[in-house]
Amino acid sequence: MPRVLGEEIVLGRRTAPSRVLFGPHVTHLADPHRPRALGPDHVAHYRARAAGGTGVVVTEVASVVPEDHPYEDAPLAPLGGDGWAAIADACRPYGTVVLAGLGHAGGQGSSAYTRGPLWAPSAVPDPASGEVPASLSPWGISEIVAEFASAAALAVEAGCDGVEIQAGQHALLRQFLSGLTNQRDDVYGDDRALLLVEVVRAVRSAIGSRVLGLRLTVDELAPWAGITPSSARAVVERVADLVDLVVPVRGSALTVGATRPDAHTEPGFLRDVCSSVRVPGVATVLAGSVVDVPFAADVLASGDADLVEMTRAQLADADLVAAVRAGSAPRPCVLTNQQCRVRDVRNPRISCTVAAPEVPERVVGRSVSPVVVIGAGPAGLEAARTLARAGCPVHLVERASTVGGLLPLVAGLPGRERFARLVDWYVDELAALGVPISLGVAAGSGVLQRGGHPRHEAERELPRRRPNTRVERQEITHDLESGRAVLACGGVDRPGRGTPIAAALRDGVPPGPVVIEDPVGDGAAVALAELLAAEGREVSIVAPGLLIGPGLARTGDLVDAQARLARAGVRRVTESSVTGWSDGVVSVADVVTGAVSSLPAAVLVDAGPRRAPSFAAGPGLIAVGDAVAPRTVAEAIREGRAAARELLA
Amino acid sequence: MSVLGEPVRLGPLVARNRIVFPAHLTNAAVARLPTAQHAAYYGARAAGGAGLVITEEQSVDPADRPYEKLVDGTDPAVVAGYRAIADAVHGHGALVLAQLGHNGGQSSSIYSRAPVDGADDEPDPMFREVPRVLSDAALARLVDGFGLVASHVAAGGLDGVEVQCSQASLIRQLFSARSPRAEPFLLAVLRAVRAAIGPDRVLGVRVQGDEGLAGGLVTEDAVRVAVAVEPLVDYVNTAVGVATRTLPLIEPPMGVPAGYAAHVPSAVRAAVSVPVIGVGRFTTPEQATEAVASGSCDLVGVVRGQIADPSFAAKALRGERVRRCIGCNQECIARVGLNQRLGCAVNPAAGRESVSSPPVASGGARVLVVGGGPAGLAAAVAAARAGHAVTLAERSDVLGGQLALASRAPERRELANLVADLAHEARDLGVVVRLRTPVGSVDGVDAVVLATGARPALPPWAGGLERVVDVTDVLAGRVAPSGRVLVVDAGRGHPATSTAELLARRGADVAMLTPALVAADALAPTLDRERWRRRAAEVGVAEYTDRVVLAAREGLVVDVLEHLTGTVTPWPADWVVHAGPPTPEVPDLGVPAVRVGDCLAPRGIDAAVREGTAAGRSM
Repeated sequence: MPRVLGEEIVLGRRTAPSRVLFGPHVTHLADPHRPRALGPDHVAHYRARAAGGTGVVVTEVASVVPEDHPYEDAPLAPLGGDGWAAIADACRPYGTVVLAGLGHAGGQGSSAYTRGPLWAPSAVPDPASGEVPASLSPWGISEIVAEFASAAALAVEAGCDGVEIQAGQHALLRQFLSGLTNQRDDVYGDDRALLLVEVVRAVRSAIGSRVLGLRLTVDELAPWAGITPSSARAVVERVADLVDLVVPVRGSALTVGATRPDAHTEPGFLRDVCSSVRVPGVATVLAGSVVDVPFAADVLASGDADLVEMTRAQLADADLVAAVRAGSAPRPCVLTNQQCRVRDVRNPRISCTVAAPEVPERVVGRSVSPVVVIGAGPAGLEAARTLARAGCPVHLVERASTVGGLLPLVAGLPGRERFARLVDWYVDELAALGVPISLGVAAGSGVLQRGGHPRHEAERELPRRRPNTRVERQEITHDLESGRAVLACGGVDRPGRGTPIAAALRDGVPPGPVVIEDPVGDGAAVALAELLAAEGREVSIVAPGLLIGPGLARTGDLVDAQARLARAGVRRVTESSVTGWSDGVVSVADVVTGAVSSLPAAVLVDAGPRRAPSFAAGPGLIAVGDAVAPRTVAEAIREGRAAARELLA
Repeated sequence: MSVLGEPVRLGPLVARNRIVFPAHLTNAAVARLPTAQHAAYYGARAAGGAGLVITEEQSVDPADRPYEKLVDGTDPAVVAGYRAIADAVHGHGALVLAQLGHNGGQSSSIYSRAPVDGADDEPDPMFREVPRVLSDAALARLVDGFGLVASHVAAGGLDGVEVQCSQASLIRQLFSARSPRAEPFLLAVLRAVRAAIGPDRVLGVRVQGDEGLAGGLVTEDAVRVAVAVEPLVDYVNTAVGVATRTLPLIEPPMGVPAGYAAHVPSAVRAAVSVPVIGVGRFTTPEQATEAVASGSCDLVGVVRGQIADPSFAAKALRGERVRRCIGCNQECIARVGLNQRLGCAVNPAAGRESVSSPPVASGGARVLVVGGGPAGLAAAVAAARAGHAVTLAERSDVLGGQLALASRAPERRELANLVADLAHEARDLGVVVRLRTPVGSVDGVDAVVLATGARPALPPWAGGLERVVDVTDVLAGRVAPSGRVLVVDAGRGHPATSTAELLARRGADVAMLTPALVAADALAPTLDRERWRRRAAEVGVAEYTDRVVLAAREGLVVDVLEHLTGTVTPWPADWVVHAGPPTPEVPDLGVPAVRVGDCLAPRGIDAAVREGTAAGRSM
């Protein structure tokens, strides 16, 4: 059944080679010398997905007018011609339908680059920036309609198969459709869909029979004034004769995170809404955390949608459709959003937690001398897989009795369950590649001394993670002086006054009130607090910054996390540090005012960072991941991959 | 003549006066290289009379990249950019040095995709990444990096190098961690740089004099370092604050007095015989003169003062008024912190020196400017400067609009300096100012600029209740809330915090409510927030986050929703003071008019001054 993803589908006058869409997203892949053009790195980004079997690629949304400059390197349609042509050329050999994303961010834009006002339906400030926009005049509106048409004409002239009009998140057209943002008293207020209809009509006449897509917010999650599924269905019906495909999405300016949420939201959450706005004659695309192949196949087979948007799944594995066609499992998206949600003023280039290189490369197989990989966390697993795929004999040894390093612990946390899939995927891959994994092997720092000829021995029968995993009791001999090794043994706890969070997760915490001190704030403390609070425990988090879990800003979960903590009754003690702990009381000082307070605490958990173990460097030894400096899964996988490449070079 | 005008010897070279434009981030780099904007930006300050310009930091390691637009000095392609900077500055008679540095653990891996290298493995509180501890071999490679970049500096024709050992610096981190590797590393760096630039160029260091941290570096440490390096350097520059932990010490907002950091150069100057540079919020020529005349330093660093008025130095030497930096930090610090190019709220040309302005229309027109706030004043000044006959009509009896009100709040008085400076410029240029004049006659006028601002807008839940008022009612003195006052912050920035503090200082029992997750969050980017929180704690303003008002009824009672949990609580109060976005005020004059500032869309000072200036120029 999964093969339904790889079936062709007709869109207007074009046929897409598969039913999988790669949706528009911010990439920061622009050439800094031409920041508003689509550059060579964009081309490579889309080509990789086309080569991997994507049916439809929608390029990064280009602003139709220069007055719209929502982020520094936001593409600008009048400068888009070369880039669209190069992308269309690059994808053409694979038959992929290439649509140019076109939009205008309206009041959700930025005035930082234009230095002029934001333009929106009404003077309603955007909740994110707080900036009050100027209200568009009728003349300004007609200019925008004309510019959508010109941009669309330019895109198809450049060779695109069509365009997708952005009326989803960060879109002026949505702002006109919504009572939250459209408070006009002219015709565009009386009929909030009028601007969208005018734009669709103008674009259709500009592109003739080419493919016309519409990304449309169908639920703003604000029923008191926002777009609802029923109001959205009426809009779809009005434009049904003009559009070839519709991608329903959700979320308003009040709920930006709801549009492309992390794993705290159930994957496929739009399925019911999507089918409710589906009208005959318009191909409907299910978007919204569609990351698992069996689910996607079920949606298509059931007729709830005609295509599936699997953007993040194809960031994790560009060859997703090809893998499905070959009957293998793509590398799983873990829905953390940490590396791919890059609408961020710092302009980080898009990446993926589980697939570090932006454009995956296949390592060419060759005969090389054996490598031992010490540590079966994500860094070691990635290193072992990369080496084995290149034909290098590799042996993976792990001190613990399970595979995955910290990931099995992390996977026990709310919203992080999908990391278990990643571990399973690695185990299956290594099994298929015939990589031996020795568990329970104490390969600590002592064996890594120069000149040592350590002999490792598996000491006990090892639990089998999966039936097909080749995890065996065996002896290993590896000469670290002349041999080659990847040290992926992970980090160690820092001595501190509380229980290290890893230990708390592994062993649980004794009864009584809990205080979690979180000096860094990457989300683990939030998750532990949620777990404990769900058990009815009294929990406080103390953090030095303005917010609890500031690292969650990257994932889009920051606001939701505060809400979950508040509802669970977790005390959020910000701008504070722990100054002492005795007799069941933690003393806390405000880092700005110095004000002192106390919190009940039978247990103090230290959610601070771990540290790298000390080890002696050797000529053939490459340290990776937390063994270098404790960081996230993304760095572990990236460095595991890089170490393997270095050994293969 | 002012002491500022005395030339000063810096090792092999002589600076023509005592006014320095010290290193600061501009975000003008593209692809990690210096640009024409750098040359134009520094050139404008040299043209404005500065004696010594020090460029923003040039990194000595490609992997060191805490922010996107940090110049990578190891790239040989920087030499052409350095050449352009040298030519631009030398053309106006100033000296120019490049600051060289490495950010160590105060950095990020988001661009490099490599571990952050630090003096130790303590994560920086801003970047929150555990660093990889630099080995001795890695430090030795960095010494080579300093030498390499210094050779690029020399090849580009700059006059020398300043080695950054303060705000964001691996060298500071080594000293701060009391590492025995610190001093040998710094000496090795200075020797490598000297070897690269030779004896005919200037070599200086910037030392850390007060980290503002418990157990951190203090003035005595700066003195010790200065003494240790004295044989190798031509001058010592000073700094206080750590860029990622105690940033408000480095770039303090309005309210912090000039010379707040004078203790550091004073102590260093007493211990070494090379010239010493002092910095510390000098915004007027008088303050800069006093710093040198009092003996606290030999040269005075003025960053924001010269951003606000590029001719600060020349005007200081001539005894003229400058357009003052008001310490609002909205366009310099806040923008740079957001990866945007540096700007200035009072000087719209700052950060755009390389952008050619549209030609100024030839003068002679009769221009009417309606509204005497910052937008109207800026328009009047610009139009008068372009040679037009300008009349400015202001409805009230004072100039300044919202700024005049805002400057009545504690610690916000310097906002009035902008009004005073613009009004002064307008008078000097012959603008006819008519107060208590709602619109003025449009008869015989060739062009009209509408700068009528915005009027307060109470939310629907206010329901016409007498004791639900706007912040401007309080600031203007129309009402005097007392007792239990609930300040509802539905806007952004200072209106709510200023009013809450003002009322608390008058003895009211003030609670401040915000729908945001953080109280006074909009004050953070301008570095006002910490100072505000300390003052609020002092006068007892209680802060409540995550809350919105649903309704108000006689009594006075408001229903407050905690939006994270959905809990609604009745909240009794004697007064409710609301701060929210105002509504544009757009009178119909019956003639075409250019709208500028808040009457187009209510925004900040920068938009008002920028749009007013642009409109005035284009009449």
